Amino acid sequence: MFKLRTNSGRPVHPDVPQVTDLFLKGEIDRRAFLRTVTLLGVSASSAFAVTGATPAGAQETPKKGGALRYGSAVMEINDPMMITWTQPSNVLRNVVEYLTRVDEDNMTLPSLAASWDPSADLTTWKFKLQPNVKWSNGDAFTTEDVAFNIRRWIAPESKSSNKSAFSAVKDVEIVNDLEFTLHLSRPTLAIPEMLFAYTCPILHRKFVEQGGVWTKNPIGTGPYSLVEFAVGQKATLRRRDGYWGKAPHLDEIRFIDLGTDVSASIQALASNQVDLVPAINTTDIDVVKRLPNVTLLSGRAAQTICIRMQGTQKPFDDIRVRKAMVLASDNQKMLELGYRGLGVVAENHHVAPFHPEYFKLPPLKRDVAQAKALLAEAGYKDGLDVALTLGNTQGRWEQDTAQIMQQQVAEAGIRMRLDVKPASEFWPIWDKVPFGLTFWAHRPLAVMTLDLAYRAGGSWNESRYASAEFDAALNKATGIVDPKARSQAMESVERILQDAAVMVQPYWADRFGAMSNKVRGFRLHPATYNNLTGAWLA
Amino acid sequence: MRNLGRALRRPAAAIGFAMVSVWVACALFAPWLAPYDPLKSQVPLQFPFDRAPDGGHFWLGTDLLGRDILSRLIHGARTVVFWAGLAASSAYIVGITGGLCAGFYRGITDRVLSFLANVVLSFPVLVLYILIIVTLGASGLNIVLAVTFASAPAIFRIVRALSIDIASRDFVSAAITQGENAVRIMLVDILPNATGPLVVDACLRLGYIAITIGTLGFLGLGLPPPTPDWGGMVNEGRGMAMVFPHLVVFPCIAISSLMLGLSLLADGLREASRSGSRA
Repeated sequence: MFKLRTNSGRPVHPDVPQVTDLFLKGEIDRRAFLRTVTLLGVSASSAFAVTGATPAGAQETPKKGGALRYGSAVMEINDPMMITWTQPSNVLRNVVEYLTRVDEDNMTLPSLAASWDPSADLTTWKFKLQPNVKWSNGDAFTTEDVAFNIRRWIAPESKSSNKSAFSAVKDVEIVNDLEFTLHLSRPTLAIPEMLFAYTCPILHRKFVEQGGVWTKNPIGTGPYSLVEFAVGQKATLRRRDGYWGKAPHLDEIRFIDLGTDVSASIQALASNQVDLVPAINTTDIDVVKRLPNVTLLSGRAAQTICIRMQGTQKPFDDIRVRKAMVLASDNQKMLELGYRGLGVVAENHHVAPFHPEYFKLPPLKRDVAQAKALLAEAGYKDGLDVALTLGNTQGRWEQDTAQIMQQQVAEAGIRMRLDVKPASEFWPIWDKVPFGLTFWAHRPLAVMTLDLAYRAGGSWNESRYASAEFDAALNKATGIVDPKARSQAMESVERILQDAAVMVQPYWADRFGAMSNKVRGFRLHPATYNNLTGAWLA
Repeated sequence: MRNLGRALRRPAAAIGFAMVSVWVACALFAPWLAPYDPLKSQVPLQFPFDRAPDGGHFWLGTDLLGRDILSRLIHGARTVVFWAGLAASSAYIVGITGGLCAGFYRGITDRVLSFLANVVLSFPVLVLYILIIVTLGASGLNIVLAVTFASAPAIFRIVRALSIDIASRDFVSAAITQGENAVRIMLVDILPNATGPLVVDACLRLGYIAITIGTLGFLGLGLPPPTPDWGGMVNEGRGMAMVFPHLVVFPCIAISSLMLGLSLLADGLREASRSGSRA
């Protein structure tokens, strides 16, 4: 039997043997085991050895050189901790880096942080940085840079979503140039995973002093340098010498903005104007399958849409109205018709069946008669008029799903008008409208989203949901290492949220992309945090 | 009506009239003609002639959400005919009122109104539509407003030119000398003599407005979903057109046939009015 060892060389966390035992007894699956022990600082190679599997290796010898043309929106990047889309993070992540890296299989691996060791109670996390890392301006990368970033994220005046995500972080203690410690107010297992959130790239300690606009002074520790940047047009990255890690294969990565119309992106791919389109819609799948020399990429992802109701605004301040909306909706049908059945039905609590902490609650039942009765009780005997605001931010499937729901709730007497706005007009009001449809990107752990979106005062709490009971249940779950026990603790988290009827969350949408057959070494990341360092052109 | 009768003796105009009539009939009797509820989702992406769950047929197939395309086209005719008719009427009311006043009063009234019309006409029409709809939001009334704003100046110019010509004739001078009310002169003496060219223009303009409503729908600025809207149907289906061409072909045929019908009818009316004048 192989022995588990940590990346730091220190003894493993006291809960690791128990988690290993659960895996060996078959009580948790391989994926849950790998994810949990790597979060606790165990090296991926030794964890794989215990499972008897080996990490997927390359089948062909990569070819050096060439420029990959990546079809994606090129958006403004000022302060990276403030970005709200994943597209700019893909430009960033090849130039600046994160402390950790969550791979395509949701395993957390070292990046700028070479190792981490949590205390037994998960409230103290000791990190050690990679040695000999240099910034592109020649400065040495040290814990001072890390502390600068984390302190900015959690500062009282911070407007970043990181503020609520890292609300458990009390302090960053610099031990020496390569070691630092995070002190938390409550146990949190997901810290290493959270450090790979797209708003967490590590910037140079003088970022604010030098103007606070990253594209004007794009210093990074990553394998590429930003050489050209034009919002709405293109961003060009060129491989830089002296990178501390494994050198990437491509000489250049060119991000080409093809607009918001996915059909145009597919045409560009078909006519060899781009090599990779990382996000396409379900309506494009049939077309992509017929294109010669193009590969369809697909993967399960915890990305979803939430049709949420703001409990602080009429008529949703009455829980009977919210419950009626939920009871009148049929999530399975919305998946089948709105997303062509290409995903997994969701259960109105924002935890996916494939999240490691998921607890299976009894299935939801549609009950139009009860919905009508609740509406009548709430004073809407003759039905209710509501307007759902949406922006089709990811494509028309959002609107398609809303139209299916519109038909369903009409049976209960809810006359739902769709207020479809252009995405640019939707984002300024996405968390202000009483009734809105919001796309939520993939996060490897459900608690990461729950923290942001449903904890009282959370940065992106669009439903204005606030419950001390929910917060306490969430705190309890985030501090449990044992995946089985954590899943059981999540039962109350899921149930409280489901009972509060905060949202209709129809389904978890699978992710799709397309690329030219000449692109190799690329896998679609479930969160579209696409890593291009392994990609090459045949 | 006499002109219409003369025009319908020409085959092209008769065909145009028939095409327009079919769509008007669809608009009027949509609930009875459509085989299914145009908003009801049934089986997605069925091809033309595929069987429906109730044993009937989806004669033109179904869309991505499983809605019967034929039913949506028939109800879409109602959308186009109603809103295009309303928008054209509104544009004509504004354009005719302005044109009559400018042509009859001339002087400062003419200069101010002509200046305003020229300012609006100097903008590209589509840009103007998009600006108005994006600012005010997509709704039927806002489409009417946008079409009125963009089309009224062109109608104004036609009516103004006709009014200047007619106002210089003896019977108008006689009416003025008799002390007739200005509004009465404009409505009773001038306007009826300007209707011939205006009817021809109206036919063509209705077609353009139908195309505009389709274009706005295509750009995602048309009537809010789930209203059946031909342009919106083309927009919804174009991404999958390579595999499911029926999603776009039938709405395109609907738009083209209405436009062609109105053009043929307008040509017929123009010819009929010319031959009438010669007679």
